[in-house]
Amino acid sequence: MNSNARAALSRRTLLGALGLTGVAAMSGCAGSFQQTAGTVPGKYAKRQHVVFWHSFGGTPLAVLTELVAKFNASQSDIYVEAQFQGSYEMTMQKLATAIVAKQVPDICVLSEITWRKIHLADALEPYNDFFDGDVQPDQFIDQFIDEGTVQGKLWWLPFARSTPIFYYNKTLFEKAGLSADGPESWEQLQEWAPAIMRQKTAAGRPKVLALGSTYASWYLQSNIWTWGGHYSNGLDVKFDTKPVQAAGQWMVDFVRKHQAAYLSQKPDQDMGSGITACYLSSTGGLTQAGLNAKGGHYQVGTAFLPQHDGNFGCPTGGSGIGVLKYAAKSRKEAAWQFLKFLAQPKNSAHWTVGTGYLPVVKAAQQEPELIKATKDKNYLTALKQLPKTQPQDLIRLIVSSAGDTMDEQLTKLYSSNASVPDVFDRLDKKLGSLADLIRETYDSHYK
Amino acid sequence: MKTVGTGLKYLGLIVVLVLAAVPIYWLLSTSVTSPEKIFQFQWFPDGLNWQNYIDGWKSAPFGAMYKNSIIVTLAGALIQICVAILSSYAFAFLDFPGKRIVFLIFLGAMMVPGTVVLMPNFLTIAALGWVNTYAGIVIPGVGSVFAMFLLRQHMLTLSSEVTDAAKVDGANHLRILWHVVLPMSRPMVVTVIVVALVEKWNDFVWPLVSTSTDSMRTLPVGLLMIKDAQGFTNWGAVMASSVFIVVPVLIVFFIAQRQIIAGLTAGATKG
Repeated sequence: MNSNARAALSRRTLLGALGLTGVAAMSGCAGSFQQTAGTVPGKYAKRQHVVFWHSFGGTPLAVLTELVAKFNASQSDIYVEAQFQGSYEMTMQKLATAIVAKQVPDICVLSEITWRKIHLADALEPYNDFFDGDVQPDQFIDQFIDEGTVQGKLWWLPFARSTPIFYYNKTLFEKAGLSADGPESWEQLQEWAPAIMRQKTAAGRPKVLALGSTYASWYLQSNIWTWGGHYSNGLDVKFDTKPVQAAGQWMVDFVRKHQAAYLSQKPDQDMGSGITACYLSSTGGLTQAGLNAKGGHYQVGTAFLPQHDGNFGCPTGGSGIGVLKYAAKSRKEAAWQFLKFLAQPKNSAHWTVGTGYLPVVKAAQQEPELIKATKDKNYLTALKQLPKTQPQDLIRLIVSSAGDTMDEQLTKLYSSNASVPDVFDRLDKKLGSLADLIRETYDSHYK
Repeated sequence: MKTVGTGLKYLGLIVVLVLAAVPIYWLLSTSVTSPEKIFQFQWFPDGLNWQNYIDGWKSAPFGAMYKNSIIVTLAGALIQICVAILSSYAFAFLDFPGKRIVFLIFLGAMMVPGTVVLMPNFLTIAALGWVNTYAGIVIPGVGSVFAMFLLRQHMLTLSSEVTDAAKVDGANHLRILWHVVLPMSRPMVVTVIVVALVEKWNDFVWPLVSTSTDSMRTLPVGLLMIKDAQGFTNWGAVMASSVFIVVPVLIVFFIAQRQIIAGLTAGATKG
């Protein structure tokens, strides 16, 4: 078998594993790609039409719509049409299908997980040649650029990035005689647990920590690092190592032995109704937390993620934007003008203030709009924590369904009597075999 | 002893009523609760906060979505019922080669989950240039094996003497279908129509995949647009929007309710 044929075959294996078999059918054949369906208002009919797929609903959708309208009004050559495509996962599925149908958008929002799959399917265009005098990679927050870079090329431009932060009921902490700044370490939180659980709320005696069932493995990533472990090193899964199991065991003890933590569907709502005193959530959840606090008549506080043994660790999450390799050159260049517009400090700051996502451009932090917003101390927590964050271990990001598989097993641990070594050893094998499915493609892209 | 039995029956009825009614009550009461109070447990809202309805209506282009949902639902259900009536008549009354095999293949298709055909369907409508059009949303969903099967089972229960008599009088197949079989199948046809209406109205994944622009989206997609996975969600507006999305379905259901109950049990025994 010659090397070309083998590469094609392994790509097909990968895409099969991703459920994107069709993408392989088109790889290598240079048929003509069209722009996906859209509508252009009459007054913009003569402009270069750029289609931008995204996954934002609610308030972020309103802010994005405003920014797109502002861009379209700011110049006379380009019309950007933002099209909502559902969650990050739905957007990726639709993008994969659209590639097979050869009717693609020009740029697309991709999460920290989905961009790696589209990259492995060779459907992204690197950004390196787009950068010019106005916008340079070093204007973005460094670790976000690092995360989007593979083999010296930038594939994924940061946009709606977030990290977890620690939310707590400040009023309750003060009543219990604890520091109003929140706990510094997991051990301190454990010491405080009895005092917290003695307090009285609308729902009776509160628990200390609500553990969310969604993205459980995103939050636990922090614990794994502070205990000195890793989910994986490259594709080599490390769930059978001591630090990982110790970190898992600590949390399981906090649930079972100390009766202080529990599995929750909606941790933020639980704090609102007084069931819990603390939870971990995305920086984007601050507005919701504030609203819940108003309804429950308490002050909400935010803090850095707790440490362990003086170690700190915090993973990044959220999404960025990829340029489709198959879009026509003129459309890619027009799309780049729009991305440059989003990267202007003023616009980046406006997006951040409106949505709670982190500012992806360094200079955004000097913008008056953002400075004003950070008068709220809770807002500042995420910004101060940002320089200390880092991308998650690769296994969760690159292996299809790894995140879901890990979340499933973690929620099982939080809600049953299963033993940590048993569950983690099994998880280690399962993730290992999932990783093997993409090993060859991974090697050809990352090594 | 008899009163105890009756009492138990009523108790059962009350339990079922509560199970069915509480979620609907919760939807209605939350839709008029001010957003910061939503996660405070309370049986009755403090006041009527209609602002949720205004916020909800404004947070997605619901006007256009209502129009699209109505067009897609009516067209989809109408074509589906026509196809289902004609095909079920064929399976019930016509003899043609390979009838059993074709029927079995159809039944087999019922076992295939919708998500499996999502991609082939998308590729087909993309090749036809139907992405982001009404035809693209409606046509792939018009063939319903379930509807055909339900009607066929019912048609098999009709006594052959009636159709034979019509045949003797010189009626052709279309005439028999229209004047004899359909009037006798009315409850079942209404059932199938209502099931189709509800299914099309609530359909989410296919309209999301087959359309791109807000101007072509349907109501369930709109509901997704006012929620955000990570950031802030105005649950009051979500609940209010849910109310004005389910109300049309509830109305259709209440009107057709009697017919449905008659329809679902009519084919139960072959008599």
